[in-house]
Amino acid sequence: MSAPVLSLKDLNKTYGPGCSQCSSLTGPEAERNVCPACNSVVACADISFSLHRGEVLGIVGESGSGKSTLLRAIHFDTEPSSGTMSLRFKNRNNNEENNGLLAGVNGHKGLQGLDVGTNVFLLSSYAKRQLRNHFMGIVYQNPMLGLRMHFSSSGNVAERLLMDGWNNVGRMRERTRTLFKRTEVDISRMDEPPSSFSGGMQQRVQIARALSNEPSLLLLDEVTTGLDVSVQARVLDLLRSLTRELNLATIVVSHDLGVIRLLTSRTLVMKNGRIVESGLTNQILEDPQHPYTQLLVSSKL
Amino acid sequence: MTTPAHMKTKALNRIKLDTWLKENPPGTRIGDGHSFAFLDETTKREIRRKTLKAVAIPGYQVPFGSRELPIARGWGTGGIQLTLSLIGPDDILKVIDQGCDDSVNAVNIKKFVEQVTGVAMTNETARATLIQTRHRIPEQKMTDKQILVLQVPTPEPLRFVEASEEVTRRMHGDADYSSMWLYLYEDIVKYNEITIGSRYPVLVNNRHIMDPSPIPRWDVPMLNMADTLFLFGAGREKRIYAIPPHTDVRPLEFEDYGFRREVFPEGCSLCGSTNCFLDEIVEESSGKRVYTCSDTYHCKRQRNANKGEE
Ligand SMILES: Nc1ncnc2c1ncn2[C@@H]1O[C@H](COP(=O)(O)OP(=O)(O)OP(=O)(O)O)[C@@H](O)[C@H]1O
Ligand SMILES: [Mg+2]
Ligand SMILES: [Zn+2]
Repeated sequence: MSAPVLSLKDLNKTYGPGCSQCSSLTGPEAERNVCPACNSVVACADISFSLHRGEVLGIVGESGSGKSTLLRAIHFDTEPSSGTMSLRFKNRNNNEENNGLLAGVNGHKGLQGLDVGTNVFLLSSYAKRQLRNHFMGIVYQNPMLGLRMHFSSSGNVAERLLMDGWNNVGRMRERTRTLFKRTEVDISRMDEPPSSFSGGMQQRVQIARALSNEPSLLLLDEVTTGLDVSVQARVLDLLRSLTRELNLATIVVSHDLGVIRLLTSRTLVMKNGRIVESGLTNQILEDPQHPYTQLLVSSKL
Repeated sequence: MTTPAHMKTKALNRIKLDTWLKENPPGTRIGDGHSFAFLDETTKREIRRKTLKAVAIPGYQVPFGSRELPIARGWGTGGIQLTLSLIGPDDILKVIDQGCDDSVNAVNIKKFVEQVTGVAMTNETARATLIQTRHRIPEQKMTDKQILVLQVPTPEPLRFVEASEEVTRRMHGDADYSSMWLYLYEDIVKYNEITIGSRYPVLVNNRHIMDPSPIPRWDVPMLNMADTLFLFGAGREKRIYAIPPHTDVRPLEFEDYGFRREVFPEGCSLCGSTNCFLDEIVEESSGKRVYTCSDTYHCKRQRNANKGEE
C-alpha cells in the first residue's frame, strides 16, 4: 500500500492555559471537555489517524465533541497545541500557470517540495498557505465562512487559482465553467454573487471552489446541515459521485449517521475531544463496540 | 534668546506657512542653535534610519514618527520630512505638484525649504539633485545622482480590498495577495478591463505589492529598473517606503488583460509632444478638448527645442 496522503499523530488542541491534570480530568470517561482544575477546553486530545488516496473518512460525534476543531487544525485555520501532521502531495509542475507576478517570501515562491515526514504544523505561515491552497479544499457548513458573499461566484473559484499564480482570465473562467458544470451551478449566473443564490447552490459554489486546484484532500464540515431534505439529497449525491470520480482523500464531518453511511467507508467516533471508536463504517453502524457509539447508533437509526 | 525652531513645533501646528515665516524672520531660521532644514538632527537621523530600512526592503512600508511642520498634513508633509532629512547645503531642489513647478503648493514648499536651508532651487529636472513631487514622475529620465521624493496620501495598496490595518500587515507578511488579484478579476468581470487609473498597484522585487502614490499609469513603467532612488513619504499615515535603483517593479496585470498606459488622441497643443503624459483641458468657449503636457518643465524645454529647430 502506498504512503498515506495524510497522517496525523497525537493532535491536541486546548483552548486556555492548560494544566497537568487536563488530560486525566477530561474525556469520555469524565464526560466533559472542560478541565475542572484550570477551566481550559480540551477540544481535541491524542487524535491519530491516517488517510489514503480514494478513502472517505467519516467523523461523527455529538455537538462540541471536537469535530470542527480537528478539521480546522488540519486546514491550518487554527494552530494545534501539539501534534504532528505529515502530508504526501503530488508534485505539480505549475510553471505554466506561474505568471512571475506571484509574490514570494524569503526567496521562496509558491509551493516548496516537502521532505517525507515533515511536520507541516511547523512550517511558516506562507508555506502553510501555499500547501493548503495546493493540497486541500474545504467546504464549510456555513457558506459565509467559505465564500465571499458579495464577490462574483466565478471570482470565488478564481481566487484559489489566482493564489496559485494563474494569470489568464480567459483560462480561469474556462476552468470555472467546467467546475460549475460538474457541480451543477447555472453557468449563466456564474458572475452573480453567492448572496443571490439558494443555500444548496451556495454549497455547490463552495464545492467548486474547493475542487478548483485539484486538491488531494477534501474536507467537508456538515455541508448539508441546514439544507432542505430534497436539496440535501442532491448535494450528497453530487459529493458521492465526486469523491469516487476524483479519487480524493476525503474527510466528512457530520453528526448525521445517514450522511456518514452514504459517503464514508471508515469512521471515527468522537466524544469529549477523544476518538472512542474507529473502524469500517458498516461495522460501526451494525455492531458498535463503545457504549457511546451504541447509544448514538440506536437513537439515530 | 530664541527658542530653537524644533521646540516650537507644537505651537506651530497648523499655522500657515506665511504666518510662520512672519514670526520667524530670515536671520532666525538657520544657525545659532537652530537646525539646518528645520528638523533637529535627532529627528533627521531617525528619518534617515527608517529610510535606509525602506531601501533595504524594497516596497515595504516602514513606520516613522511623523513630525509637525508649519504646513498642514495632507499637503505633502511626508515628502517634506524626507526632503528635509536628506537635503544638504550643496543640494539643488526641484519641487513639482502634478507636473507643475509653479503651483501654489509647489511654491510654498520651495519657499519653506529655501528659508530653512538656503539651498538653491531649480525647475530644471537634470540640474536638480533632489526632486520632491506630488503625483508625477518627471518625463526626463533621471540619473543615479538624483533622488525622487514622492508625496503619498494613502500608502496601503491593500486598502482597496481590506479595511483593517492589522490584516493588511499580515497579508504583506505572508505575501497573501490573492484578494488584490481578485479585485482586478472582479473589475474585468464587471467592466471588461482593469479600471484603476492612478495609484496602480505594483509588485516590487517580487515580494511586496506597493502603492506607487497617485501617479498616472503613464509613470508606472518609469519605476522599473530605474537608475534613480525613489522614496515615498506619507505624513498623515506615518510611513516611508522606497524603490532602490535597478529594482524590478511590475504593474499587476493578466496575460489577456495587460497593463496599459494612457493614450491621447493628439499631442500637446503647446509643444507638440506626443510621447508624454498630457492633461486634458476642455475649452469653456468651444467645448473643445485640448491637451497640454502635464510636466510643465518638459513642455517648456520642448518648446525651446522647437524654437532652436526653426
Ligand atoms: N475559539 C474557541 N475558544 C474556546 N473554545 C472553543 C473555541 N472553539 C471551539 N471551542 C470549544 O471546543 C469544543 C469543540 O468544538 P467543535 O466546534 O470542534 O465541536 P463540534 O464537534 O464541531 O461541534 P458541532 O457538532 O456543534 O459543530 C467545544 O466545547 C467548543 O465550545
Ligand atoms: Mg462543528
Ligand atoms: Zn507640451
